[in-house]
Amino acid sequence: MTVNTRVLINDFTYHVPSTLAEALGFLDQYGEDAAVLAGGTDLIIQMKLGRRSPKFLVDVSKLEELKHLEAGEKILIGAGRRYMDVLPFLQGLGRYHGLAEAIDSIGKLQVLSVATVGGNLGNGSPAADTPPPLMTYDASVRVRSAHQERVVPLREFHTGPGAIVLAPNEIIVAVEFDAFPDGRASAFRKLTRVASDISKVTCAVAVERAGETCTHCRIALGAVGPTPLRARSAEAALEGREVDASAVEECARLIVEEISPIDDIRCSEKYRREAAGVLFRDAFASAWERAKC
Amino acid sequence: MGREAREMEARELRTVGAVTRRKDGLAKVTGTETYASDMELPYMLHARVLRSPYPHARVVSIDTSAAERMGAICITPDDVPDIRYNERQVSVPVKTYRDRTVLPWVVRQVGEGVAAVAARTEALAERAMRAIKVEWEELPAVFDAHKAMADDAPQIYENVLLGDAEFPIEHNVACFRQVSVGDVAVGFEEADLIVEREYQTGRVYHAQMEPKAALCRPLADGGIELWATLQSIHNTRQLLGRIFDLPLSRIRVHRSTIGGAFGSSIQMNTPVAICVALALKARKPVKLVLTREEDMYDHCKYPAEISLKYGVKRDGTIVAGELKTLVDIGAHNIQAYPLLGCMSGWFVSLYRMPHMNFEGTAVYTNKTPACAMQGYGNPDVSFAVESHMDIIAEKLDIDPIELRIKNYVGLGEEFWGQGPTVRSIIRSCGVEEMLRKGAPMIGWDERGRPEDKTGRYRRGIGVGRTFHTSGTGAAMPGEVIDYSTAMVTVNEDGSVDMSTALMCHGGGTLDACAKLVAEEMGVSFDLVGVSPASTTDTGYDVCTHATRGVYCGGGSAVKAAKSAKAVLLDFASRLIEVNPEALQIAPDPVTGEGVIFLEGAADKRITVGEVAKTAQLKGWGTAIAVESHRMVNCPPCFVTNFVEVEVDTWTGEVRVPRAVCAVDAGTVVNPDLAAGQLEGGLCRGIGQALLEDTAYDPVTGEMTCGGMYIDYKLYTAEDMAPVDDVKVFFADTYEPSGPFGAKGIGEAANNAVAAAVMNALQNALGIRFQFIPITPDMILAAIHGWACEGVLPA
Repeated sequence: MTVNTRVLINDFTYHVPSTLAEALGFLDQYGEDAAVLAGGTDLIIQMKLGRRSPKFLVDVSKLEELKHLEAGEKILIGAGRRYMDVLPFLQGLGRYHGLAEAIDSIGKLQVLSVATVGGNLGNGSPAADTPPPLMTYDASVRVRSAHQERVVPLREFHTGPGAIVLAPNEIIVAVEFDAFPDGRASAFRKLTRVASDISKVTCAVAVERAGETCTHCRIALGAVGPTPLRARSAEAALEGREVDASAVEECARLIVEEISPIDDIRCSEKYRREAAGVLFRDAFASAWERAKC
Repeated sequence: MGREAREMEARELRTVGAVTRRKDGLAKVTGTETYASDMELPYMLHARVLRSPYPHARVVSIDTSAAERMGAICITPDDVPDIRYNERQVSVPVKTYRDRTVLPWVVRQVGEGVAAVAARTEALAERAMRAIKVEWEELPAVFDAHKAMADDAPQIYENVLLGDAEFPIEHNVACFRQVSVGDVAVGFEEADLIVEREYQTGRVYHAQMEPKAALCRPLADGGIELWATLQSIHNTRQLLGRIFDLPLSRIRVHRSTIGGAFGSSIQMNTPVAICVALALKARKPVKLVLTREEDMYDHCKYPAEISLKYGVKRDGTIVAGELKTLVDIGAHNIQAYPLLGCMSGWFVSLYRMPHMNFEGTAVYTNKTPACAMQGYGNPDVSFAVESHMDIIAEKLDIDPIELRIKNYVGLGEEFWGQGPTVRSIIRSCGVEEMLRKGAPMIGWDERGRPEDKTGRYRRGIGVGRTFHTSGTGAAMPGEVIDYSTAMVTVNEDGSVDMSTALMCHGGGTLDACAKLVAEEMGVSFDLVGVSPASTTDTGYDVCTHATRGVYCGGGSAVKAAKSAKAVLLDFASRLIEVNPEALQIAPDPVTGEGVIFLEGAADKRITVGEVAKTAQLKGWGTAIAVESHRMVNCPPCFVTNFVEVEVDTWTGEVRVPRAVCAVDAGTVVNPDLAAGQLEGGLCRGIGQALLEDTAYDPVTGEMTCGGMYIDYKLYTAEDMAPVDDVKVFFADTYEPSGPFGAKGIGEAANNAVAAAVMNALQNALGIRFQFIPITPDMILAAIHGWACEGVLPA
């Protein structure tokens, strides 16, 4: 039994670059031997557990280039921004409820104070809180290496449990999405065992409406498949359609069919299917109501 | 004491019953308190333990050469005394089962230590530990108590020691206990209604905040000094003396501040002996601090399978009861025999039964060893019995509260505080008061019937009542040792030192004792200091367990204060020429200093400080006293919990929006801390009902949570009802045998909660859950009729 979350035994070189270029230089040089340290809420535990043993740690938490918070035609959130800063920024904007609710649901001061949006994406967990709402915003991830910058749509970003499209020499710079047109609204719901926990199921919804007709619909879920996922058939079933109880029920049914949850220690596959439908109905009702005005 | 005298005394209490700031509060909230894991000594080494990856295996060989080349000091089973011991020394030796050694050749659970290393840093020690090569011979393992008793089950032990005698183990049964009163067959014959049900409780981890730690300094004379996470410094010293063959005078165990216990350190923890063995070999101080994962593999609560049968008359009078329990104790028998005795006692003491039978079986499995946890079998027995009371009430169409009031064991009746050998007569009882007063506070009469409840969110209200003992004292010596020692010294400035080997687990036990001493001495609480303590400067105290701190420890402190006061008043009588019996002491309202005076005589007064200083200068001596004292009663501290639940019938999620917690603790020494105990107990009890358990992988023998908090969940403040929605009150009682009328509280806080939650769920959903914890998965399964492990068919 060698599992431990306290003793850190592997030796590593710790770099604190003062510019993004310097950080990217280290990553280019060290490749797979390096790991990017932001808030450390996932990486440090993985290192103590022996699941990762990087020879070089590149601490990007001080880099100003990763700290953008911009609200114009696009909303831009720097990857190095702590949740604690992002939450009031979003709440100030007043309309991105889904993402704000996802961050707020983390709720723990210890995590909010250090964890970053970039880290949450970079960790690649299918149960992460921020990807589903960001997916409903058609968000993109801005990624940079020493040689190029590219923009990856979030829906293509995750490739499997704990796996993302990032190359070893790349870093997440920011996540961005188009500012909402008037009338668009979003919501997020999640289920956990206790308040301080990894999600059992999450669901995010973004909608626009014209009267009782749904004119735009995005639905994304977490912890119900190998990656955070969009429920496309459900979206298609609602978009352009008059919303009534039967439409929502049909949509919930499509979601339950579309997801591929598993049994794990947090809950059963059967529970996840049942709960995903419920979370969708709750998140949809909330977003739909918000879209009214 | 009559009601009048009692009221008079209560009116006169100055310190006891007041809300006071705890003496250790500032250090704790500012992070300056020192725990064993914070301690540093010159030349100190750090230790790590090599633990078994297998649930059952024999060590064929251990090669430590690579670790030693890294500069580590290593110990293997070859380096430790070949002494079989039991880490808990609260029972008398003839009732103590000894089945473990410091490092064994045969491991019986994943996580059992077989070798240990000490090195300059913890990381180096960890690397050295991983460099040790062990050749294992895997043995078949068993993880289920029923399977463990089968003929073809792997044998976990051939024999253990009972006292000093060989005790053969058959079918992995560690011990069996039967206790009967009357003739249960006759009782069931007389019954109009017989109700029989099965219940099950979880294998909960204590989750005390501080993972266990030990720091041992070897001394030049061959002795040792120890700081560790402990609940009994004296029992630890005695056991170390026995294992390492050292005279007790060369072992000094310090009382360290500990970060909670919930019972997990009643025994001398396994890291203590390993740390001592390493330090003796290294000849340097060694510190061993468990990781959270190691700690979780080190101990858990005793789970219980209970089959319960009650026979009642049509009017609700109970005539017979039978409780049979199977307890899966895991890899070591730490205190299963007294546990079974206690379970019989909790059963007997809940409701009057002319005829009773109890049978308890404790079985070894290849899992983490179970030990006492807050309530020691009481939450389990009370969960079953209090669920049963609601079932009987429903069948007989009697209000559940009235059924309880009709049958509870109360004033003038016998209470078994620690199994059949520790009994006393109940002399204070607030059971009916708490039920009658609490019911309207929660809205009992408006709780409705489950069949009338509709909609997605359904609320329900439930009640659970029980008690815990206050210590394990009794008129005659029983299986359990119980006494405390305290020393009280009046200092030359009028302040007072109190010294005791008692521990504080966080609930404020030492604070409470200081208050009791302040009350007795007639000085302000601020002027009473709690002395640091070690085994060389305190008399014996059995252990701070069994909700005995205030009642037993406080009892000895008050006795010592009385004796020191007698010396002080004798000195004073010489100075102011008044017979000592006529003198009183009261704190000066401004300075808090004790003033000795003769009532009605303004010129006959002198401060405590003046007397103590004059006695010193004149060479009369110090007003000091030591008392070793056994309480000859074990009064129950009764408790009642009303709980409201709200169930989301779509997701199976349950929350507790409101609760009422009441305790009959006699005189309440510090109301804020007592309320804190009740709120903490509520939180833990809800966890036991809805959340906490450890499951095992049947192939690897590892916990499915891996010993990690990532997947072992606890409710926190964020999950609890807002403070204003948890109402706390205290029964208006006075325990004649207790210090200033006080009884215990700690374990009682948790004991009835799970039952109340399950009764509330029944009231919300009309579904009776008998296995806990009940998760949202299981609740959805029950609502939809899905097959699900742990949910009985309706």
